[in-house]
Amino acid sequence: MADSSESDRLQKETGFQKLIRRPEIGAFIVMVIIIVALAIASDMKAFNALGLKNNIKIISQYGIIAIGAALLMIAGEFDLSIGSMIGFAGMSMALMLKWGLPFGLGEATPFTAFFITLIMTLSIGYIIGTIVVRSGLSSFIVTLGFLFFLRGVTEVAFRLINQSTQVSGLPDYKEESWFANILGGEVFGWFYDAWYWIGTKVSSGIDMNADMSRAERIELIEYLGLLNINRRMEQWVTGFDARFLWFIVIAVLAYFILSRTQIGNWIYATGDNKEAARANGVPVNRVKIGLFMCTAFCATMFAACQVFDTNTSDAAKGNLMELFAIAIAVVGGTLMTGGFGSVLGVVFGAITVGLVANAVFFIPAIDGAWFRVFLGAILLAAVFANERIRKRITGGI
Amino acid sequence: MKTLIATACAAALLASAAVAERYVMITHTQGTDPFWPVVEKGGRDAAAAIGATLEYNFDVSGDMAAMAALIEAAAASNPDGIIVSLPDAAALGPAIKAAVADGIPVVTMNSGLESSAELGALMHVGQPERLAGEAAGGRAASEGVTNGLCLNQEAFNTALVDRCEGYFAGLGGDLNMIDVSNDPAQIETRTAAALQADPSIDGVLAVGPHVCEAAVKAIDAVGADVHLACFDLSPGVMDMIENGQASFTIDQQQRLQGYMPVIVLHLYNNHAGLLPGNNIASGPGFVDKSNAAAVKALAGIDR
Repeated sequence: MADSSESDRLQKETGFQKLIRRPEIGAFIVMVIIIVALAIASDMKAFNALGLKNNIKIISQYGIIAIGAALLMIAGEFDLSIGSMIGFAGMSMALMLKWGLPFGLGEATPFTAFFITLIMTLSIGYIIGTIVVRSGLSSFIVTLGFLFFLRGVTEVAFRLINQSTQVSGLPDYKEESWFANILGGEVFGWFYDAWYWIGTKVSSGIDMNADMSRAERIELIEYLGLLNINRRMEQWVTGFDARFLWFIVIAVLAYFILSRTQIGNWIYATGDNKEAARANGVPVNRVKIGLFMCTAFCATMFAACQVFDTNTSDAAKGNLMELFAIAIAVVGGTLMTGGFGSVLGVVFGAITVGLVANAVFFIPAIDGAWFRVFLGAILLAAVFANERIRKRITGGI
Repeated sequence: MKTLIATACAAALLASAAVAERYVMITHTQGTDPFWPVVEKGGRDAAAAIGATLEYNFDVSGDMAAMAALIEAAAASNPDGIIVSLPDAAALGPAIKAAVADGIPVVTMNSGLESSAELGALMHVGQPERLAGEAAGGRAASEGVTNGLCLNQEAFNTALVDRCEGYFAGLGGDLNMIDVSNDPAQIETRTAAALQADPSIDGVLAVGPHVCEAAVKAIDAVGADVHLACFDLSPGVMDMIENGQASFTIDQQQRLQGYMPVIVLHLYNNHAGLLPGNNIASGPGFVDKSNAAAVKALAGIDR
């Protein structure tokens, strides 16, 4: 870039040059490397019918909280209370479902449990945001306080109301409540139906013989897995987890808001230079408070999808998730100091980290404990890559 | 008047001490964990059976220094024996050593097996985790498991690693343990991944009840024919055992951790230092289809 000058600014770029200048390119390249490496190392098992579903499940739940965290980071603030907020929301919903609504309002339905919880978490998000903007304290410290506070409240509530710190054995609400089903059930069944339909065409004639050797059977099971057919020759997987839908909804909304609306400009301006933004009439405080409520909303969605999927909750739910959310935002190219980042990059980051979180378990030769080693290495690699790209885009600022 | 009451109290104390043995039990519960009332009831039932009195005490803060102070206070009241759980030998050790030096017999229970003897306690009543894992592995092997997988939610927790290592010692084979984390979604996806990565796995041990509840969904999803064993009790696990999704769960039988120390101290005090030659393993006990309904009915009271 040293030989470029101001007069080069309007120079026509080729498509490729434009592409490598996009802020998401670093996250994209890392993601592609991980996908290819995992497909080869796991012998494609990581992307058979169930592998894909499970990978997307983890990617989606990471993605939901990472988008909230990234929007807040673009506006120049942190939220370390995400993990504890997930625990709090999960506790609140599970306790209401098991022990009824507070103040003797009777039995809880999934719908009422979710909305009362959402009102509480959004209020807490509002309080956190207000404390940060009014006190001028670092959001790192304020949300660190809420990290401990909310986890403590979660544990205390479990012990006082439920005696045990785990709620389990709840009925499966997905079966009778449409609301529980859109949070914890399955979506995009047509995708797997189509996969199975293609699978039956490709595999017609193949059958499981009783006289097959064990190795042959395993090989056949692996082959059928890629065609969405189980060992009983039936359709294997019937749909993605509902959180995939919520991830898409939240990502599309965030993308639209950030890149197509005035609020999006406000978010960037707030994170880039707060005083300049304020001088230009950006409601900096309201933007920040709104984004703290947004992370609380994302945490609540994370918890709701899990509670209605597994019908359990415990005091450790969401532990350390705030750090994963921040790591994904950073892998996705969001700048720690604010003012820079993209939703598409965060989606790539969520795919990368979600795959790494699951990937090593598909490869028997690698001990599962390596997962954090890989994650740390990828985090550093992505930050270096993103930093170079950002400097090139912004002209070395 | 005050002196009179004090004298009367002292006389009453002396008199009651002469007729009934008095034992003190101190645990590290904070008062809300459903595990400990079962231990307390075990101790009270044993005391009633032998005609002794049992005082039960704990500190709500869960602070080890406060618990050490309780042990010191108990020793100062000169009981016939102290029963204490030992989660932190460094913090509680001095108080226990002092009690032993004063001639008070001490029995440790639940946690603290490795430092019990060193502190001068008579014995320990608890579940040796490796032994419990071995029992689970041995039973899994007898039920047809050849290639196992251990799901550990806290890979750095030595007690849980002991359970996994024991499982493979009982089963035969190298340790195959994965860190599934405490996140129910990831427990499920990582278990499914591991089962797909190695389709020859036919036995799974989950070393926590919530891990077991998530693992059963993974096994279902993969469609694998896998033998599932769990550790500890929860309503969900009891349901899984009753409807055949899990074969058994290992119960550490904490009622014994309350009951046995009282009996041991009673025999020790009254029969010239009569003492079993070894620590008492309260577990592993098995809960399977044959007794799941009976255990469920007693859960939280005597199991």
